[in-house]
Amino acid sequence: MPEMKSKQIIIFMCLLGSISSGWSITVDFDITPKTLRVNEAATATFTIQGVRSPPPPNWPRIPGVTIYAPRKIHKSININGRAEEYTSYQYKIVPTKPGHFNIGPFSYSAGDKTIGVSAQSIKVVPAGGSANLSRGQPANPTQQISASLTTKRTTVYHQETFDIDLLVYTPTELQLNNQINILNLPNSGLSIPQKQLRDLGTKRDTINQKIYNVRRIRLQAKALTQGTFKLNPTVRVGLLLRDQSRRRRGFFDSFFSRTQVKPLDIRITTPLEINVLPLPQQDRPPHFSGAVGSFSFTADIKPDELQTGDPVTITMTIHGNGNIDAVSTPKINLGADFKSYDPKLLSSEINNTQTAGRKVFEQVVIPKSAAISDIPAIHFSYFNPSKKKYHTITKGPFPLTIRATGENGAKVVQGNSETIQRTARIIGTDIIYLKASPKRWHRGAPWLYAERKGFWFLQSLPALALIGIYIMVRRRDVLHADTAKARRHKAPKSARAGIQKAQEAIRTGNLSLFYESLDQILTEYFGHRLNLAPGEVSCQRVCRMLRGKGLDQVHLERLKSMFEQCDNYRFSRSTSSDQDGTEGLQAQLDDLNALLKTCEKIK
Amino acid sequence: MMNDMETYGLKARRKTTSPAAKRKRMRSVALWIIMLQPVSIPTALSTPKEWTPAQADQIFYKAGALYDEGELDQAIETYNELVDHDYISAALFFNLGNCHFKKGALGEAILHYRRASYLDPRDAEITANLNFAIENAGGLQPAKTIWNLLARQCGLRGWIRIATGSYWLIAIAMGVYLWFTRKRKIVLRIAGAAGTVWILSMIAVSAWSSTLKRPEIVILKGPTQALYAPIEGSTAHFEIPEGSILRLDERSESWLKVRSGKQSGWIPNTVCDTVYPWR
Repeated sequence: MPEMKSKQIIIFMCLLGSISSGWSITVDFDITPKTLRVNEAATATFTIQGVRSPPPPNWPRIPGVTIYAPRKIHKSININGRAEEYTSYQYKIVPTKPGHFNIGPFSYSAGDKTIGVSAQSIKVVPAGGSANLSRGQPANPTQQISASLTTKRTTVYHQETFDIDLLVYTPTELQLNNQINILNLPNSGLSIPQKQLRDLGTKRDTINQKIYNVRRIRLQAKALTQGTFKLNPTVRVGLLLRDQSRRRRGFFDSFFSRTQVKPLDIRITTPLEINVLPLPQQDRPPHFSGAVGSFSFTADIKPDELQTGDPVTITMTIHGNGNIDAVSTPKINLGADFKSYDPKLLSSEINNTQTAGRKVFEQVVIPKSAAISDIPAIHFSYFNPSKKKYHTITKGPFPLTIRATGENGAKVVQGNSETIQRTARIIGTDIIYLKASPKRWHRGAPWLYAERKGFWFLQSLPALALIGIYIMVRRRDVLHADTAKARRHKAPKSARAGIQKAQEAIRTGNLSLFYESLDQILTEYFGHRLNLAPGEVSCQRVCRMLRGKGLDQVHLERLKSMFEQCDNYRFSRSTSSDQDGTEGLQAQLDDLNALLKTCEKIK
Repeated sequence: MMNDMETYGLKARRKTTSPAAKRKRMRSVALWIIMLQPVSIPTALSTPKEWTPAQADQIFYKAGALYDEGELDQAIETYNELVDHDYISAALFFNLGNCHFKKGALGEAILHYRRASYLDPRDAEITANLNFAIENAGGLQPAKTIWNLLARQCGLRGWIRIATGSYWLIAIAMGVYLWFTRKRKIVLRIAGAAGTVWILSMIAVSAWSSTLKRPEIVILKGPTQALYAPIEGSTAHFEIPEGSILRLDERSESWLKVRSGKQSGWIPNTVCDTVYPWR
């Protein structure tokens, strides 16, 4: 029974200990800003955790510093599913005289616990006549804002990366926006990319008893060539100016800022000189390939037991700070015992500033014989600029266990990373074997058909057709150009149509149609033949023109009588009685036909 | 024709049926029959029993089987039967070349490979075997001119077809050009392109024609000496190894004047054979 009791007590104490460890109190004390003017207020914050409803701290009296009543702030934050409570007491403290003040240390008591709180010091400068733009009395801001460059290393080595800090000093009465541009940086020699600016924040500092807001910007520089470089850039900032007009403020004015941004160029107070030295030649290792910084190197092979002709993969990892982007794979001196392939970059993880990262390389090699026992050591060399000396990291040699295959000699097989183009090894030459079957049989020489007459006759057809087309086109063009000629060619066709119509009239005994046809024949034929408009065709004109062309009088008389007969019938409906019958009409038609043929013959 | 004559005879003699007329009719019919015989009889006599292409194929396969069995002489004899029956193909000459090559007759092999290349110049296997045989023989080769290289891109039959086709295309294009007035530029371009093809094809045809007129010959027995004159015992000009391919310049009885580049000489016609004609 006593043993049981002691065990219970031990367990209870352990539980109590574990619970009470969660009841530990932490007190945080901070003052901002730590540099201020006389009568300028600062905020002192006590943050207490681990106590529910902690009491405010007891302040000792500090001569020269007025401490006002605190403001209590209670917060509850959920961290990883667990609620944590904070209580803050914020005090407004106002120094009344210049000097250095140490506020603290304190002893803070909560319940039965007492915790020591370390002191904070503040620097108080006298209140100066500084410009206050809000009172409508503008001053020259250029004179009050300045910038400077600092660096820990003014002498660097070729390919070394280093930091340059830009400090922008702004009086507390003035405000700058977040934008900052650095102009007139050097184009060569030093690489200072603006995309890699890092804002390290703003703090207060005093210069000649004047308080400034100091904004620190870190630039990443890399020395590309050796020499001396003077950095004297121009810093462009945005100065925030409040609206100075006295116009009435509208209802919404309180919601929108009334500030303007004025770009301001600041010159560097003192140019920064950087000396870039070449990498030392002394003690330079033979494996050095340009890595500058601080690196680590590891290497591994897989597999280490294989058969002749099987590939081995060597994996090399380099990581560290420096010009990691320029680091290349270490060369491995394999000799003639290995068949090697070009190394590959497997992965590359480099930070935004290109000053730190990790690279992994892979190379495939194939041992050519079973006599090989290891892969030679791999060396990676780099130059450490801070120590000013070269370092070489050696990994290996890597033991290999190679089993010979059954065949004589090494067997080179395909690597596991790329397809290998190989050509077959010629062992012997001979003629190509027989053709299995003929594509087609020719009866004699296959070109003899071109010697046959039928072939050449066929070839003459296109030429003949072309000549025919040419003649027809010429004729067409001539007829298009010469209307009289075209009409002359048309005359016989028009006469034939009329004659057929007259024949029909004779067959049907239609006298009217007959003389109508006759009239049509005469009008159309001589109209086309002599190039006359229909209204111009008259007996007198036609006879005159034909007489001029050489038609004899007999034919002219006959033609005249034809015209007269047509006119007689047309106007008086009378004809000579011996020509009314079929035979008479046919005779007239034949006569006309013969007359037309005679007219055709004359030119 | 005879039916027409009979019809004519009946028509003409519908009105008369006398015996004399009948006899006259029979004589005219007989006369026609006799006139036709000179055409029909020789035709019937001159046509031996022809092989069909299927039979030719069977002979071809049979020769291949003999080659596989190692009966090279019989295989050559069988292939030559096809040549005698006027069944020609590039495959036939190729296989003949293989048979001669295996027998060690490089000259004969080159001769037949060359014949095969005339029929199918673009066949890579024919070219490979020909070059291989020439390399083995170490003989002279014909000069390679740009015209010959152009001509060898296709057989003579192919170039004739190309020339004919482009000629017809030119004629059609010119006809369209003459007849129509629109889009003449396009037609002219077509005619120009066809004209270019025609010119090139005619150059190739003329190169082939030149080869056929002054045929290539292959030395079958070598080395042989080309003499300055077609006389036995005359001064030797240059030596020609077996398998050399030369051009024939002249014939004089049993002598041939051959040329290799700028050198020419006389050789007996027993030591060589022409690539074409092949019989």
